[in-house]
Amino acid sequence: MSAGVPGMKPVRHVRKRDGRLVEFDESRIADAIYKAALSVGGEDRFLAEELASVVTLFLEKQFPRRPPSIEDIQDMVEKVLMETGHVATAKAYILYREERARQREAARRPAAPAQRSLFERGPIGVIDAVRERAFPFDRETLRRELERAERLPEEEAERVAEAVADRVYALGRRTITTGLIDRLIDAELVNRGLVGALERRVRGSVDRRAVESSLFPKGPHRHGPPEERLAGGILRQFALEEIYPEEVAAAHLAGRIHLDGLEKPAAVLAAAFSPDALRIGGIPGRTGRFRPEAVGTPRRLAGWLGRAVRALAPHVVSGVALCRWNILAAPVLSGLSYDELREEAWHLLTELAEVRGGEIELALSPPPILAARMVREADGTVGEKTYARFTGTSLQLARALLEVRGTGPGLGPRSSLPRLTLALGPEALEEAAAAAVVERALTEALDREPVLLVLDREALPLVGTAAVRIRLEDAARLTDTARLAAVVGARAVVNLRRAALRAGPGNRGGFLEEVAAAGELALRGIEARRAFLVRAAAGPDGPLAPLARRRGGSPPLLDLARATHSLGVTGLNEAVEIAGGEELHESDRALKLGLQALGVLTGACEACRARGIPVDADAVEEASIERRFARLDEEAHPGLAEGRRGRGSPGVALREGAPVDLAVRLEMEGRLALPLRTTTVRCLVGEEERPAAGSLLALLRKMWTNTRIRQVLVGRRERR
Amino acid sequence: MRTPAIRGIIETSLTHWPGRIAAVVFVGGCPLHCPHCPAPHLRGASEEAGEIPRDAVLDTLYRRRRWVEGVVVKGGEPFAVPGLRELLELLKDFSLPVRVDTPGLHPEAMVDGLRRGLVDTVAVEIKAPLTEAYRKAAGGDVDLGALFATTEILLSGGWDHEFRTAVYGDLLTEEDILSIARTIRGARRYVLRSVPGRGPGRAALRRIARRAGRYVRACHLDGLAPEREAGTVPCGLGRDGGAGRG
Repeated sequence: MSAGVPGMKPVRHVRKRDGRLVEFDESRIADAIYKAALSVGGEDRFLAEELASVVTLFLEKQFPRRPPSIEDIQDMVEKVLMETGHVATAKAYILYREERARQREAARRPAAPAQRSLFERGPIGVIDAVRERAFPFDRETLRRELERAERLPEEEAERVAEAVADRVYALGRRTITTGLIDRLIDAELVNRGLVGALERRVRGSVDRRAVESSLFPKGPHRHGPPEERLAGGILRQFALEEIYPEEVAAAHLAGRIHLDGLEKPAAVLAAAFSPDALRIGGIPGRTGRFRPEAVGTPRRLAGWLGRAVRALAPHVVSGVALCRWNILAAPVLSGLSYDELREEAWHLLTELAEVRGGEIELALSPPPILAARMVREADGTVGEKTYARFTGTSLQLARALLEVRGTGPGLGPRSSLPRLTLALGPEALEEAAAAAVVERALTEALDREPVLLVLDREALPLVGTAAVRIRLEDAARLTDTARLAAVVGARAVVNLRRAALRAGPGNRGGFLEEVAAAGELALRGIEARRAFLVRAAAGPDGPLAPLARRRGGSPPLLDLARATHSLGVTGLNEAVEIAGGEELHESDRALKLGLQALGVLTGACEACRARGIPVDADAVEEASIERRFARLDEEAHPGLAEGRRGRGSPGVALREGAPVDLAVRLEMEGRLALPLRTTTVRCLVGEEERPAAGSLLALLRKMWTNTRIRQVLVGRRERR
Repeated sequence: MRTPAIRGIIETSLTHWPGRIAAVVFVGGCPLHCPHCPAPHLRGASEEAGEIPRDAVLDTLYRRRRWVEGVVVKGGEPFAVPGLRELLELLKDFSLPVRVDTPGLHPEAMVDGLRRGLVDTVAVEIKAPLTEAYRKAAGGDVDLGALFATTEILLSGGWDHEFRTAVYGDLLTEEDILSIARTIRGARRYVLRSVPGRGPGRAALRRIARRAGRYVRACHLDGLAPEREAGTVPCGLGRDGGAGRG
């Protein structure tokens, strides 16, 4: 033990990793240095002891008031070795230290409760719902935070942190919220008479740190204006702490699942409406219906629809779609010249610009159930002609919208415009006029931005947004085109890759069990959110009440009783690779494992449906969710997830560069798509292999007959 | 049956036969030495290009039969390869249309294939105007007479055909392309292929295609539908069958 230097307080204690204080022992430092030196050919025990005493000297200097932690000491050993020129020994020491860290990690993982818990690396987990993160409780971090944010002097901060930590450990809980820690700090400040510090902490009634982090954002929530971020943080905290069960919220924070739209807890995930639903039923919160004669021309429909969609957008998390716009608007706009139709298209795009998740769905022919139906006239009454008689105008409208969106002047950045989706029936691929519109859409997709094509296989219309597509199963609802509307209430997404990582490499059975467990958590989340949405729609003052009310004789726009919900899945390819050793395209065995995992989830959805909650499984391809999962996977499984960074295949897709030809890819993805309601097969081509639109059309025809693919995204592959 | 060595295969391609999903079979051997050759390893009949067993190729075609709508045979110069007829006969057993991409230097073999119904369409790559410039583009002496004969046979016969030119900026000018278009005056299709990064941009190519289109029945830019004036009512999109309100 070092005698220390006169005038300096000797180091007496060391803080262990689990928070305990133990006696400082310099010979252990000398041992570690000597072992590292031996491994690179050194054998001077005396030198190791000399270096250890230098380390002690520096520790005394740097930690005059508090005991150093193990990590502090190891940092110091590295520093001393480097600065005294023992580079080889330093390197050996660093490697040894990393190896030990890995061993500790490995030793912790098999312990069943720890592995099952949210906090795979710490004894007590802190849940910070405002910032949507979770981390292990650490007294040292708390002390630094008290010094920084509360401006406490170092010793004071040390004492408060010590006392708060004692209380936290004494609670005997596995997790603790930042809110409870805050109250413990407040109490400690009162006990110690630190009223000034307490006053600073509670100035105003809003969490000062939340305001600060909304103004100077870091991490994943740095987009949007500060007021939205601040509100988003508070609402997220409310959602995680009040709406969802504790385990579900913990699974979200750990990245096993993802709960959508926490910033907008009272909003539904997605909604789709026919133009007639808005035209006839009116816009909630506004009086009156669309009356073309009031403005003397039918050409104000775009303005009306735009206003309606903007009114709805705040109540929807990810997408508001106008479905079958060209089919249902054709009777109103019939008789206009092509140039006038282009003008109408321009107005509609301008009206819907900047609406987040806005989408316009076009169809190339009315689905059979609509074709024979009598149209809604411009004034809203049911006329004498059928929709089938307006096919010419509806095709011209589709063509005009595609053309204007691609090349129209004065529309601003294309990313701010609503997406276009094209629904195709088999006739659209055969009839020349419709096929010409499809070719135009495909050319746009290759020239500008991808287009989503929906292969409309059901006789009933499929409505929805790119995020989630809804099959209207109840034909009775289609007695009136004004009733053509659908809502997806809640969604929770299962991180399949994490399920595989938790089970461990090569553990197929364990993987499927983990998928089932994560699916169960996600479904519990969906049920909880659904209950909250019902509450939000009830009563006269609920935030969703105006939208959930009947509008005169028309059904409500958000009919939660009929809403479906979505269990999302993503990362299947990497999950199968971890659990089965092969990627999806590499063997039938791998494909089978993938289908088994999807089967586990669709089975859980069925059980949920039997309980009266309609949930469907969907593939989720949103990049933001994939990024969040990737970050959290890397944190939870640093070694295993590392090699797989940047290789994530979204949804249930094969890896982008998988060495299979187009036909095999489409057949495989078609098989994987089968158990799911919505999944998008991506058909992206490189610049140098740009096909003719006619070739893509031929491919679509083959997809129709040879696969069960329902949705395909056609576009240009971005250059790497 | 003796068939030529197969040097490569693309199981499903969207680019080699515009408008169709095609399988592409590469047979080696080419008398030309074009400086821009995209597949120089297929030029000689040497073994370095490797060989894919014939039965493996036929097996692949069989497995893709639900997807593939045609087979493209490419060289080199497929018509110069001994045993091509036998290979074409085997391909015909799949009841798929066959297209041969050729530089057009062996008109007799081409006519033989077309007459026997083994080849459904021929795509002739015209690399440059049929003058000294062609010899430069082909990297050596070429029998231009044979090439003239090929164009003559296709333009005067009833067989389906296509002429193609890859537009390399350092080899061809706009005038060169118009000169080629005049040589193949009346051709059913003339396709200009843009070479990303090595030729004029798409806008310039569109202009050239419009000018060349005066001499041939249709001039396409590879990967694009023929040009249409903006703002006009697109052809094929009729009015509502008398039901309009106007």
